[in-house]
Amino acid sequence: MGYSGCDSMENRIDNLDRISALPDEILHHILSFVSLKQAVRTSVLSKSWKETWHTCPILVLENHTHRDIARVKEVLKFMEQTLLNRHMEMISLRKLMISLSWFWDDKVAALVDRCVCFAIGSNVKELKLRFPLLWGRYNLPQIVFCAKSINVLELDHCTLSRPRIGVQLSLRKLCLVGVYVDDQMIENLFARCPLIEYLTIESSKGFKSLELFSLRKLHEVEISSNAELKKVEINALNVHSVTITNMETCVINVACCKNLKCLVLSDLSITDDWLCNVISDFSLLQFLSIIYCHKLRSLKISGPSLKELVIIGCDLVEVKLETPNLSIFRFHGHPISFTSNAMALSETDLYIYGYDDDIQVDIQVLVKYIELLAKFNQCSEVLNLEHCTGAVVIVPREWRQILHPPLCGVKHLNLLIDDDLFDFTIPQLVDSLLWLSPHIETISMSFPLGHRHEYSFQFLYKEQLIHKGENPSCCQSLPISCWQNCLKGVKIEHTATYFARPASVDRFSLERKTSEKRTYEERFYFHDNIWDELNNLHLNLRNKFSYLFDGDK
Amino acid sequence: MSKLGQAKRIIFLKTADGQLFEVDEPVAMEFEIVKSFFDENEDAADDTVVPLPNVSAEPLAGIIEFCKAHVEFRANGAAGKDEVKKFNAEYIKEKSNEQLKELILAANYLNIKEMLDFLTETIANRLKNKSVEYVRAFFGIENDFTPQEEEAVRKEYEWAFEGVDED
Repeated sequence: MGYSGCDSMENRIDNLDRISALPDEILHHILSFVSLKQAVRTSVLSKSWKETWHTCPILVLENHTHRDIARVKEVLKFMEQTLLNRHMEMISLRKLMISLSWFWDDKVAALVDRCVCFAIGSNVKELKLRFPLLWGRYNLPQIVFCAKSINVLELDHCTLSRPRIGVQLSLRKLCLVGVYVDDQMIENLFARCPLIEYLTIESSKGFKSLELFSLRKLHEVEISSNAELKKVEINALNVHSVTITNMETCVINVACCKNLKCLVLSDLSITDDWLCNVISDFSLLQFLSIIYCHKLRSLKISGPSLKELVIIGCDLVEVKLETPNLSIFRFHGHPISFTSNAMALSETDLYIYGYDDDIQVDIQVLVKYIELLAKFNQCSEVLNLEHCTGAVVIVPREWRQILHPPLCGVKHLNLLIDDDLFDFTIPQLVDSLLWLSPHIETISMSFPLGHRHEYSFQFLYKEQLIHKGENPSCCQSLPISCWQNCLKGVKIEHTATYFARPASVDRFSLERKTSEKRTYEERFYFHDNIWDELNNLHLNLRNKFSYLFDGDK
Repeated sequence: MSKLGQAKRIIFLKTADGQLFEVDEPVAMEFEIVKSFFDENEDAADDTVVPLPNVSAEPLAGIIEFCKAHVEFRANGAAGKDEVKKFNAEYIKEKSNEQLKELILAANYLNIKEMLDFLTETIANRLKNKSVEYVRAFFGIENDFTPQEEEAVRKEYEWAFEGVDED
């Protein structure tokens, strides 16, 4: 399906004008993706492009290409003139964005003021102002909070003050980052935004309390890193998604959001009881993420609709799940006692701390680890394991006779190793993973060694030998015959990813082009002497990056 | 992954050049115009053919390919990951400007926001940091300014013409 033919770059430079024929609306959309400078330059392409620019209702100024304050002022003056032109042409503005990062003085502020006022005069719908300045904040003109045309307002490093007249606003999306706003203004603002759907408040100051009541349309709320905020209360029936992060001293009340589907709690001082009570009220909750909440010890989560649960970096000792529909479970943390009635996990991610800081793994540690893994057997088809060195998945041969392979039910096992793969070989890892999970369909392992490597193995098996009574001695302790005797072949895909400087660096563009991502791939199929081939594969890889090993010695 | 035991509904789409396409429901619902057709005609029979008088078969096939892949990405939780970027890059690599234009017009008519954003951004990237001459040659844009007129425009926007990479 789709187009045939494979035009090279040369063929693409055809002589017919294709792009100019697109409707202006789409050309304006295209111009919204390029810098102001580039957009302006298109006006010299042809008469129709000049017209396209002259009617463009989307104006975006980002200053990372400006080298000094004089240039910033020049471009802002140009923006002011452009806004004035749009106003004279009676073109309603769809969007104005001004993002400045380095240069600032009173004259710049006055220019920004005028741009904002002209934009509001042209009924701007979307206003985004970003001033991530080191020295302070931009005093936002009060008129912004009287502008009925604005649907989307995103402010970064501004001071908001309360306007004298209070009109109903039509804001649908409000995003405040690094702003200063007092309690009165916050209260007044939300009283006048009945249509608000998306709200983000991040790293902002000046207010101690945030109460969101009777906002019927409110859909998504994200509140994070507001150091002075002591109390958050959300009572909005239709909220689907709440994210609260990095506010350790804040009291949180979200219990009234009965229709919540997605809840993310991170870096909070919430307690076991609080969480247990809150979660039991959310019968529609599908996604729950609990990250770095260090007061939690014992989690009891019951959720009939819960599909995905993420627990990262909490000091838990116990997790009990009554979540019959859970499909994805991700856990990063210290070993826990784990019970669950979720029998149909499609994917489990485990990053258990403290098991493999060393290359030598104590046998008691290994036994505990294997017991924990066994809890995820049968209930998960895909198991993703992450480790520092990978040492803990290397089960010594003498112990394989005694221990029971923990993951007989898993079909796809993916291993992510964070440290460089110096101490183990690929065949060692494959061999041990095949013991952990006999007759597995696929294994993949990802590790750094010069580049980031990902090997995926797809195994093909012979008919099982067990029925023929030919079960060789090495497999006698296993419930099914082991892979060594019935492995027919293995398909291997190797992808390596690395970063390299681009071939030609555009010296005029100051956009960050430091390095770009590159990949290469290779594929193999082995059916004879599989282990010799795997050893060769590893030797080739090791030779390619031999300099890393030399340095080690 | 398709759920077993669940009959998949097929949506029939007919293009301007008379071709009939059979599309899986979730893919067809990516097209806002098709979605609103069924929202407005709730009692439409299962074999209703939705006419698309402004789209021809070739771009529609391309659009279905794109949307199908993206619906699957979302279902597998891969949205936003490298996999998607790789697919998008591969998808766009062999498209000529003519094909791109047809795809944009069709995506615009069918009202597929995600795809339209992606396609327009692709065009924008083909414009970025390029000289006027390069952009004209690349897209085949005819310069209908007299030299004096062009000079006047360049002078008006003098600051915008400094530091252009002659790619």
